[in-house]
Amino acid sequence: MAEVLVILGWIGLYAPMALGAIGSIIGCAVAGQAAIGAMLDTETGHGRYVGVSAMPSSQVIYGIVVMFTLNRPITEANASGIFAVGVLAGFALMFSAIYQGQCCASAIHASKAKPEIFGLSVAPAAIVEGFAVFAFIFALVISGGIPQS
Amino acid sequence: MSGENYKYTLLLSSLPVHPTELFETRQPPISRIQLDKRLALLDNEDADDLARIEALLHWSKMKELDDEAVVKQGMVMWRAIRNPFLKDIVMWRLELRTILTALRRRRDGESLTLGAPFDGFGERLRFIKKHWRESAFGMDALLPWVRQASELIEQDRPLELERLILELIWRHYQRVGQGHYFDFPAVVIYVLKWDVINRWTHYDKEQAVLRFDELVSAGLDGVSIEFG
Repeated sequence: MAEVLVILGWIGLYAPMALGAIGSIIGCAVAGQAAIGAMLDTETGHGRYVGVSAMPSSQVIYGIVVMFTLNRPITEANASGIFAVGVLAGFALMFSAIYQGQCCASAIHASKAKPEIFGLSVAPAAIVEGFAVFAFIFALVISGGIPQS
Repeated sequence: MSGENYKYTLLLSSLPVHPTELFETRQPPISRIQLDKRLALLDNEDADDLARIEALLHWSKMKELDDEAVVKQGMVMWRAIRNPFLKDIVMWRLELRTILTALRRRRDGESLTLGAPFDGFGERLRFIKKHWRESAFGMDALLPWVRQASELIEQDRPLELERLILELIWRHYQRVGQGHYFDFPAVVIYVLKWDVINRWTHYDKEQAVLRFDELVSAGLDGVSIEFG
């Protein structure tokens, strides 16, 4: 049982980083494809399309910070806490990155046809980012209650 | 999560957006050559499905066959379409054509009884035959446009009829396209809407007169008419 707990602890430790990275990979790939497509159809504004398509990369950074915050010697006493916080924060970051990528793709597609709505079209992606920040901040806060050893 | 729904993000983002109103359009947003270049991004199975759908719905790609053969061949192609959502779109359009055909045949004085052969698409063939004498084939409540179309056909107003039908098709595509942004159905709907725009923008009175003259000249080739 103790070994299983330790394994779960290690999974929880690396989960925010790994799941955040998976989310960022998918999100940036979807938004990036939209940006490349938009470049084929427009003459200007390419830089901002690429900029928007990179928005889902922030989740992997949050994941790294959560991982370092959770980093401590894994013991029976703290493994379950690390697992719970790490995995749940990781899933929140992963889903937020994926759906943010979809928001970014839609924003690029819409602002290509109506450049004047560019700022407003990015708002949904920013709102999704806000939820990722919630998950990140409160993972840091709650990890303070997990025993150091 | 992002698989099928975002399969053609690159392709659809590279295409110019269609206008909201069909009849305000003066020309297609992209040429067919450019469109075909972008459609090269489709995978083989999807490209085959799109070819089937266009072959079923595009007049220029239909062969000169009798009604029975057209329906038989059409149903074979329709069954080969893999996506049920796209099958519904295609069948809706084929059924619309069947109803228009029935209206024209009735205008031409044909009278269909329940036992008489009537080839067409959809599930309303028997219903049409049963209500042959009613102006909208008894479909007023379900398909309000049938009465309008019937009146325009009876009054011999083909341009207004064409506008009615194109508007109907355009609105239908816009409605069913909701929720499809970067997937294969979105690509198909884009191409079908392009076909509608292309059809509308190619109606040209002067071109039609020229074409008519060409056809008359070709028909009269070798025929000499002497006056006086």
